[in-house]
Amino acid sequence: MASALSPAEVLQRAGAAAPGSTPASLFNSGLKPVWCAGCGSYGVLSTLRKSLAFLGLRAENIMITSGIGCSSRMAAYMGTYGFHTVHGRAVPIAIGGYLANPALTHVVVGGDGDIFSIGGGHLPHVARRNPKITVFVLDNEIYGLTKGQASPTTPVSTYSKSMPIRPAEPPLNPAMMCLAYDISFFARAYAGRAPELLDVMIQALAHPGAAIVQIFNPCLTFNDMRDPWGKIVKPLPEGHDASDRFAAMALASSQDPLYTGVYYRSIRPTLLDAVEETRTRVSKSVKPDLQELISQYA
Amino acid sequence: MTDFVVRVAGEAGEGPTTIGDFLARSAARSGYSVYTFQTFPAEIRGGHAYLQTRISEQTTLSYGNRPDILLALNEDAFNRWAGLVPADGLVMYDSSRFHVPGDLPFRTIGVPGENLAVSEVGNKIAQNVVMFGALAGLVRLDQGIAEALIRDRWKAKGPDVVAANLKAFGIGMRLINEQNISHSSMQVTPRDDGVARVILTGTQATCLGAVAAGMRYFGGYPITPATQIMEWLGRYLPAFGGTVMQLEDEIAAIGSVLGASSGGVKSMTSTSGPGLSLMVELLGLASMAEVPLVVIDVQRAGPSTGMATKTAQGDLNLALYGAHGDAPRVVMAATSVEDSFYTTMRAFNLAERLQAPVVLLSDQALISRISSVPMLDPGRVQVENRLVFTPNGDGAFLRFRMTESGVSPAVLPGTPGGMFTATGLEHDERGNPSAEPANRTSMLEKRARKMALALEGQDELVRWWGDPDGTIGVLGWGSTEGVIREAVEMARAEGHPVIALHPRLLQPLPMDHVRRLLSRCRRVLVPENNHSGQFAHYLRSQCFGQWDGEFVQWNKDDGTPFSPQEVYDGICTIAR
Repeated sequence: MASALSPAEVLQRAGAAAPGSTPASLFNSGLKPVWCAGCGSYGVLSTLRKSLAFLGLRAENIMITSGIGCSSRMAAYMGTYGFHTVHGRAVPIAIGGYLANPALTHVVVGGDGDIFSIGGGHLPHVARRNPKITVFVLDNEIYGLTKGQASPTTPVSTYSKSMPIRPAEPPLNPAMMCLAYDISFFARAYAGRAPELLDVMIQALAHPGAAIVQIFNPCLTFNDMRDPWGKIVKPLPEGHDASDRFAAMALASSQDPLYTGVYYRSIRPTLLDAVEETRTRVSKSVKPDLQELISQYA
Repeated sequence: MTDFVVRVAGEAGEGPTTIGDFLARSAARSGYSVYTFQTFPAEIRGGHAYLQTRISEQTTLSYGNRPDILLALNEDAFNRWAGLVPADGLVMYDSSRFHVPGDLPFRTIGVPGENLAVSEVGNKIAQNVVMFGALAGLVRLDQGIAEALIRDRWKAKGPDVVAANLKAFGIGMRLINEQNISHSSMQVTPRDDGVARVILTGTQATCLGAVAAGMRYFGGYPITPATQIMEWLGRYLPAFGGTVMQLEDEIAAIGSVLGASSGGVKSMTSTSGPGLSLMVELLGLASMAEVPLVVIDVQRAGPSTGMATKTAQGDLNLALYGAHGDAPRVVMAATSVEDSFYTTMRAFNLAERLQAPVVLLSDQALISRISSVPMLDPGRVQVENRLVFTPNGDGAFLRFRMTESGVSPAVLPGTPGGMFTATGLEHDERGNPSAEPANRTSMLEKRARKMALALEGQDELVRWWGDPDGTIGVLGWGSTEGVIREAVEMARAEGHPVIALHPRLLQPLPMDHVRRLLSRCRRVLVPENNHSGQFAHYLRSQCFGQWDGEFVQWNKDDGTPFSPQEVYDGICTIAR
């Protein structure tokens, strides 16, 4: 098995220039976002641009894959290569893109419905395969595009008379879920605290494996969580050991405070390492010669 | 002329398919044309299975009609199939397991396979190889050819296992040779007709075609009877620098194919009906975002789980119409083991040429069929690649540029100056979302217009058989081609002027050819392995108002393929 790459090597492979050498304004397609005024996604978009610029990545070397939902529209605003696909399937589509062009920087952007509900079945598998794909989940705890239905992360207490259906089931804890799946990088951030978000995004993008970042992202129209999140969101305790998955789970189980920062990180072989190992192994007994392959059936 | 049919039947797992496979391969290596059909139970262990092989000096087009030789490994196999054996046929059976009645119309040969395996080889499991030895003696198989197959089969298990199986084979063969039992018209004496052949299953031919076309990414999910494709590719494709991924479900499988193909790698998945049903949404995305890909659907009897190990041609409607909105795609069908190679190559060519999804239909009977075919020649199909544009830096790159053909030059991620976002939303030439009515109409028109390009070179995608001046028509699709050819010749021998057209391209339908057939015939038989006549209905809609004749449905829906006799019977009903 090829040894796992360090963050610096990952960036080198991804065609990064010197950190900070790309202006954030480059990552702009010029399209006007469809989001409501005040939506947290504006801030996430701006911070994503800054993080890519900080890492010195070039627009043509970035592939952003997204599903369906308000936040999934972000792919088209970036001025990079993008694939705005169908609901819930951005992760497996990105895996194909990664295997075709592993040297590119592959990013998935989606919402809590897209990634944790309809696409939830793909999460354990992206964790165990460990492709170098960075998944940003803009979690507004609501279905915004379809006007306010409960998502898998909507607390029962969120119910108000403006919601079409009363949420009956307790919400998922995506952090606990991702840590249980043993994703090789998990972090949380709050869209309302841009400097912290920038730091987490940079670390996630530089992680040499699959990374999931849950970003608390207020939906001002259907679920304005700015006040409660402003009160309960706090950085992870000083000295948290991000190599300790069980310590991370203990912190992830807290509802108040909701900790943000890098919960867990482990460096391990990637899906590309496994693919290359298979190629090497198969090549020992099979020659890449079609005519010979046909003739073995004579 | 040698032309006979052997059915080897027994408990699945006890070796009916092993024996049938050895017989077919030995006969093919002896210079005969072979064609098999095998049917499995759905159980993981046990249940009844058989493998039928037709062996002929002429090209075999079907698995034949009645078995001339039945090898019954147990009493159940005898009871099921002895009634099919003609009076001049033979039944060989394991006489240590059961006895047959004395007043049978055909000859019977008892071989105490299990007893000999226990007493002489020391292992009951060797029964099937003893019985193969006896069958080999009966049809005068070349001992060296048969033994080479046995060595190949067990060499990985070590010399002791090889020696035990060779011994078992020798015991069976000697038993028959010593009694000098044979049948004059059923002998597989080695012959050389100067034709270089390969012995392939439908799976192997399909996979070789994909590799020849340049396919380098496969994403799949296990499903009977398509899994063999994933398994074959897993063994070979990585050596070509390719990747084979088993995903978590069929949606992820085709999703990964969309991602890889968008990245510029020729990509495919394979599945069966239930999986194709799950893939429908992403097939629509491939139409909308203009992503080339190939889905091979190995049809089995549906709906739902249906009969997972039995053959059918029941997914045509899903392949043609399975989409929301207007989502143009190409539909093709492979017609034989040899054709699976060339049609798979062409499927990738059409996907690349049109930048659109291609559904290639195969089926359980075809994918598991063993057939001896002329040496494959990849050079017969010129490999095509998608039109790729290199942006020239003027900043005006339009991924979905409106063109006369409807095909726009693609750009691959990583190319400076070509950045765009593909989307399942309706979009403008740049790729930006647009719901503007005029743009919408012209984009729908663009994606539909491309389909006409599939008809370029369509003469390569149809075959004509039978009497060029015929007035009785047969129009089939997929794996029935050989059976139809044979039935057409049976009918012509009876004086019926029959002509048959067999397209590999089903959508768009090569209408020039179809019209030529219709112009000759008032009635056209449409044989297909489904209940409702899906192809017949499709033909009626395509030909509406252009012909005053009649498409006559001729369906077989019981999970087994047509025999030539059954198609012949259909021809007779419209020939009256």
